[in-house]
Amino acid sequence: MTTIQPFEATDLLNLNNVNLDVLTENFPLEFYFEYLILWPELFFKSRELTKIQPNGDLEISGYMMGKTEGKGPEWHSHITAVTVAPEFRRISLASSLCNALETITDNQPHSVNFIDLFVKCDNNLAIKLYEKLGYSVFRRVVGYYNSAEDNYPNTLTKIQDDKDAFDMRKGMKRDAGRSTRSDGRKQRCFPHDVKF
Amino acid sequence: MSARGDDIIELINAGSFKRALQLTSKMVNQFPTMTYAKILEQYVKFRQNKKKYSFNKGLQPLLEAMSPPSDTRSLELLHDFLIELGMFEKALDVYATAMQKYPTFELGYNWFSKALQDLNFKHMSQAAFRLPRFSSEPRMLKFWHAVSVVALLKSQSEPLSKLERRVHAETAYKSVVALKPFESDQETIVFCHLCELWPDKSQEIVDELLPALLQGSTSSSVDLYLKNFLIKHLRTVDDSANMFNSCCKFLEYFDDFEVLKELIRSGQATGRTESELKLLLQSRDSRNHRLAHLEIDSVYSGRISDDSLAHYLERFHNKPCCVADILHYGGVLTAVQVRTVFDSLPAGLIHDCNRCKLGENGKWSDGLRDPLPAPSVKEYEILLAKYQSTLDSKPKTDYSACSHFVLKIVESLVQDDKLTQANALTAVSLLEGYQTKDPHNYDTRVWLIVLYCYLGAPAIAYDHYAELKIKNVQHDVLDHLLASRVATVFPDKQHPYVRQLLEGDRLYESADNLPQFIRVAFERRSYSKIFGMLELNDRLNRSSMRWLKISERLQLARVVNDKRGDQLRKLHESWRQLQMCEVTASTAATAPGTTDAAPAASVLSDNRDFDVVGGMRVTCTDVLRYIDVGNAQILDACVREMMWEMVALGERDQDVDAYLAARDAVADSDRDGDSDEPSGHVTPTDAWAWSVVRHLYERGCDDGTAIAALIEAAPPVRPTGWQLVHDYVGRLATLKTLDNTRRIKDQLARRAIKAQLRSSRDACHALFDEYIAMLEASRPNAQLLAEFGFRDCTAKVVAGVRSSFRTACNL
Repeated sequence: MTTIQPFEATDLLNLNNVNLDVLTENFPLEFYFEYLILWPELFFKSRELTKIQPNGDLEISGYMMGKTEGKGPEWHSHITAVTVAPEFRRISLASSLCNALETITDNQPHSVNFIDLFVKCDNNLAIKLYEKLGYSVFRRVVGYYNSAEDNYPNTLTKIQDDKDAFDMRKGMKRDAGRSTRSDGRKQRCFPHDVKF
Repeated sequence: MSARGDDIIELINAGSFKRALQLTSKMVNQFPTMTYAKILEQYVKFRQNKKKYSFNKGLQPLLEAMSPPSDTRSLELLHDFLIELGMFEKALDVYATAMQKYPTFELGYNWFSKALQDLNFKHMSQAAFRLPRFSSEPRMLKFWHAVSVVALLKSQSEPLSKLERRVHAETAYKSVVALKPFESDQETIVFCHLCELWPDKSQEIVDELLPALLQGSTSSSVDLYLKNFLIKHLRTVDDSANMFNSCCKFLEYFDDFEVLKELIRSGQATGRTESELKLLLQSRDSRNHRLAHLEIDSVYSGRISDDSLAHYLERFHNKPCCVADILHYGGVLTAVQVRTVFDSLPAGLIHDCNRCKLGENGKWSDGLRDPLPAPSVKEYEILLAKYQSTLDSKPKTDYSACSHFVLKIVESLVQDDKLTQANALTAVSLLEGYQTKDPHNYDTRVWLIVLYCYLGAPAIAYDHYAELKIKNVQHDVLDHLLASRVATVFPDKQHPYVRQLLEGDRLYESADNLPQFIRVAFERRSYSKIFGMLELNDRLNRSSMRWLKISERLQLARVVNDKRGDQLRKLHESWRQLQMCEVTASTAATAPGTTDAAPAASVLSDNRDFDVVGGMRVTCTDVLRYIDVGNAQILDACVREMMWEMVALGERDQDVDAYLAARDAVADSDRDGDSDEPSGHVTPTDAWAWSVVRHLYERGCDDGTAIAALIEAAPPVRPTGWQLVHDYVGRLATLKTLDNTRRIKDQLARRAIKAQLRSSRDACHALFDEYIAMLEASRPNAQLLAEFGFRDCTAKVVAGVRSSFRTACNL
């Protein structure tokens, strides 16, 4: 039983069931505050009405951190993080959070042209999830997940599924199909090309 | 001029008071009308001798003789000076007075910012109230005022009279209503918060929000706060027709069970039938919508049909969320019903695990548990054996439900009435074996940390802790797993974990910048998030973990003979912050020149997550005892360190005196049965260390006979586990500090200290050898381990204990 609720700064103290997952990033306070301040409507959580914590709060089962950026036709919302606690996986909760972001940013005052996100090229499970939600690969960002030791990519010819990201997009009606490319997987760009 | 002031402050902080006084006198002579120089001169005198400094004879006459300071530098110095004097309200009053006399935007803004930094919402609202007339953006500043008033009335209203509360609320409300129509959802949210300050403004909220929702197109906005406000207040005004329509609209936007519940209730109230509602639910096929069938049955008939239950379970019987969902409806389901439908579905790992959990926790409407009983330990063993092979084929990122079976077996071994060393070693071995197969599982890893700490091998616990990749704010809620009693169970300052502790914590340094972020939130008009940010800032300031680490760091410095000056200075600064929290939130008013606010245990915000250990928190209290450090204990430990500081100086400290008096008063009322505040697990060594330092602090260092008697009364070192290290190091910490206390001159006392130190150190090897021999002689359940192919980890535990031993015997 999930309800979608605004994310509060104090929720950061109650995320262990979600954030103890080693693949979920734990950002510095300043980063979370930046999102709370700049995009207050786009940071929200799912709470479980059937799971009450000993302190009386409803358990947080997942959350979404989003933002808006770009100009003109590039004006869009971006999924920075969407994550779900292990106990509430495989029940379409991440989809529900993505749909909520779509609803909010397709409406005023955001009215974005498209939503985008980055996903590792080898994360087939996530890619399938996003495709099911209507996202498609717009381009491949070569070396997006490079570590400091990997250095910045200097060519687009060398691709690595565990280092590259797919820039996946879902266009809203007003985008008139500009964010959908049938050959998106073949289109390549550098990480600096995806800065807005 | 500014540089000269900074130089003087630097001299003060370095303890060069004479030079600082010379420079301030020179500055005062050179600029006789300069307010800043005069205040600085007083400040130097205060810092030179806080005990002798008299506010009534020093700063007060100065303030009365001159016109109120209004320059930023003087105000800041005066504010900080008054805070150090413990006059927290007065510290912000200086801004109010200045604003009265020389009203400018800059002054008002500084007042607002300083009040925000002090988390004083009364002053924030007063400052914000004055600001609009000096600004080119009065609209925004009126919302600042409104937000501050809401914060004040929701969390710091206790010191206000009924009339004051009404005046604050009415002023803010009228000012915001005059700004209609609102220009953003953020403004509307503030309006709704203001309306909620009254019991009868629900209809106003509904009237503001409903038209925009029902108009419903992409030209309107969708905001989660406004969704909540509308639903809450439609419920309050009992407007079922509009509630139903609103819920239908919201369900087009979100898959939200709270909305579904209201849809069902308002549907019933407006005469809709169950089937009409179930038809509506067909718009989506999700967990929420399937659960809504159960909700409809529950609301309409008080019982859930087999069809609705089957409709939900057919898709979710093998999802982990199923247990929480079904248990929620336990009051309208029977055990037989659940078992029958559940057992008609195909078995599998998660299905079987869910069935176990339903048996463990089920409370059904017929009051029966027999049809769906809690499994026996043997059954968990069978299930683990049955599904163990799935661990080899699952992706590493998946969490296996097998962890539940393992933890239930572990629980059967280490619950309070079963706990033995052999069982603890079996449990560790089981968990280690399991963890290699399900490496990302944190439920099991947390228990490895707990058990290694319990057995006295924190260095190995740390290896597992590092695997959890704890970062940033997680430190505040999880570090207690390792940081509790760290100074006495893990006093290895070269160890990465302890080094990190010693270097301070970046989290709390970041938290100190939060007021600046909150100010940005005001400026960016992100009003909805400000209340949460204010609360987080407050909770991190008062965090139990923050204070626990302060005390542990100081104790560790004593254990390893490190300098403590900087840490003690920070402790006193932080202590004042704690006093300020106590004063701001209560009616307490401090008399000029005194600091009589002694923080009570309740002032700490306990953000530590004790539930991370799951349901075993209740059944396995002995194993978890080492993390049972109560808030009163944490404050005691901080005061203990202050007392050691004062004992060395041969002085008394008014903060310590106030704390001890308040503590005694609480202890008296406890004796009268008036208080049930838990105190945590105070070990005999903790209690003894406290009694020693308190004696020295209150009675001085001259009575050698009494001191020697206290030393003789040291409790024996307990023979096993974390208690062994804790008792040994705790005893040594006290004895070493006594030995370094030059003020103890009595030969009888000195001899007793040396003798006790010597005999304690001499006993160290034997104590640890004996414990290690006990561990090695323990017989973990080899048959159980063999059943799952897991190795006996006794040798690993012993290695961990030896590592603790090496650290302890070098002290």
